[in-house]
Amino acid sequence: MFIEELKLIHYRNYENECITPHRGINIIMGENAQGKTNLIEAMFFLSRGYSHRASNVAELAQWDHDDFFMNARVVSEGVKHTLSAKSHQGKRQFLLDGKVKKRDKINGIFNTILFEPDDLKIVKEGPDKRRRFLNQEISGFRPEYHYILRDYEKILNQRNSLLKSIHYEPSLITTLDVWDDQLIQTGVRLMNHRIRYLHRLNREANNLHQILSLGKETLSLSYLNNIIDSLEELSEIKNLYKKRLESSREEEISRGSTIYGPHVDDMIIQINGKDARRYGSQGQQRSAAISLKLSQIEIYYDNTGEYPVVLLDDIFSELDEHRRKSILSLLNKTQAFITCTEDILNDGKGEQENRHIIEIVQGKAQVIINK
Amino acid sequence: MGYYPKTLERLVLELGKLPGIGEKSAQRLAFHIINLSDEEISSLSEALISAKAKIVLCQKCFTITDKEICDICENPKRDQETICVVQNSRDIFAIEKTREYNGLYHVLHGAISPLDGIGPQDIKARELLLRIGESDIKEVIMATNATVEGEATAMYLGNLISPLGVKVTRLAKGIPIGADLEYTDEITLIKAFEGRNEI
Ligand SMILES: Nc1ncnc2c1ncn2[C@@H]1O[C@H](COP(=O)(O)OP(=O)(O)OP(=O)(O)O)[C@@H](O)[C@H]1O
Ligand SMILES: [Mg+2]
Ligand SMILES: [Zn+2]
Repeated sequence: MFIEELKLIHYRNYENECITPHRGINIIMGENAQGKTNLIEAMFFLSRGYSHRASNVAELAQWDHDDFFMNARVVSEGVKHTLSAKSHQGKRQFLLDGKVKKRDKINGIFNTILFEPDDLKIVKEGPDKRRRFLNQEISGFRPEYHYILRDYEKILNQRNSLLKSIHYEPSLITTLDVWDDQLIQTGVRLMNHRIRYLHRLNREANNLHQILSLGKETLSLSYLNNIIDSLEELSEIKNLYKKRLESSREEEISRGSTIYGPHVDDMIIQINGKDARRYGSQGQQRSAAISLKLSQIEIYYDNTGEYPVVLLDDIFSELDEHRRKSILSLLNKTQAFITCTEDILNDGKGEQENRHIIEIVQGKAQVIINK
Repeated sequence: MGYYPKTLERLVLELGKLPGIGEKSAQRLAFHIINLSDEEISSLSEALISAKAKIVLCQKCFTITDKEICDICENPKRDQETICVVQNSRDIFAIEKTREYNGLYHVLHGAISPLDGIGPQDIKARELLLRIGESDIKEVIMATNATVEGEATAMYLGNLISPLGVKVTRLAKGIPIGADLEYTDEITLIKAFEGRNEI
């Protein structure tokens, strides 16, 4: 899967620009504040239907304009598609081959995985960051996950609201069972998805981490949730979940919120057997985050039969020579976009067969090396 | 809006309260209305008033009707032993269009939703149980929306009805997750009827 041409009109600091990337590695080079991240964001937006950094689509329109338009020619499973997104007064609309489509109907046409400095938070910060990572990555290649998650969140909100209402209207407790049942049904589907994904991720991420650490470190992941303590209990998970809800009913009613379920899940990341969040060095944490993210390359391939387009924003400058080289070699099957402020890949040894350098100056793009 | 006469302004405001009518459409409609002939105006206003005055809820199934008992409930050719439970009267029109179903209906007028403060008391749930108790019903089909609220309502009612010895089924495959029943097209609705599961 790759992108042949990207057109941006009245989008961020791009007035009207057309970029024709290379099928291999594209270096997006430019000084600070020229529009490199904006370009990455446009591709992410086209593939996922939302921005990784703006919650309000209106922010994407160029200042003094109400609407923006972006259009990409992508090749997916050998078939050319045009994928467009536009906003009109803050409302987004997607078109596939000229026809308006719902956002979920464009899933899978153009898959991207993005790594940016903020992703270090997956390793460094609280459980919500890791749940967000799991949710985003799994729904990236399994569209149904997005719906299960959305239903789970609705059920959770309804159930929490009911738990609060029972305080002053105890007879409503007769309706709690049906919300418990739905919470269990949907929650278990969510957990099954996460377990299956983590199983695969664990293997892949450890492989990558081994490469990045020159074989000195092992990375291992484990799934933490408050329903089951081990995978042996998985076949019994619905019963165990039910028991948990039954025995905690009084407490949940007095708190007015749901204590048990995948909304409090976490994943423990260990390097050489030690919790990376607490004991990892900066460099170890960075390698772990990269390993987790770049594992998606192979995982997407396994699930969809195609390699995703890889977007790496602002991470290369922080890495040493060995890690840069290792990452580049991982990208040899994919189209990739790597932002940086200087031509860091030019080590003077002329090793740039597959590279294409696009320079960005104030929202204008210019190809400076075309291989 | 001060540049309109007060009476026109009021008409625009009233029209703008209707669902799906924004300010621009309300203005367009208002200008259209004031240009109608006297005859057309009285026919329109009469239609509004009589619709409101004469439309009531069917005493059996609670769908909207202009009689005490609606046409479907009154029709002896319909299967009197099956009730299809829906959230809104509009769902009945969607199902009738498929011509696949020949039983009776029951309109709940909503679904259980704690966030909106809607419990079993606030929908026609008790009425459904009474109806099942009073007549010889063999099967109840839960055709509430495929949303978490519709699901909760179907499960809640199912739990109350099953012990009465009545078969309870739920529309199965074909309804996209999260979709409202009204919006599903006919083919998927037909499939949903064919594939209903006992709950
Ligand atoms: N809606 C918008 N309209 C016009 N310009 C915008 C809009 N949003 C952001 N910009 C401008 O785009 C510029 C470039 O932003 P971007 O984040 O892409 O920079 P960058 O090249 O990634 O820089 P850095 O190397 O510092 O990360 C910013 O200076 C900002 O002023
Ligand atoms: Mg940037
Ligand atoms: Zn009736």
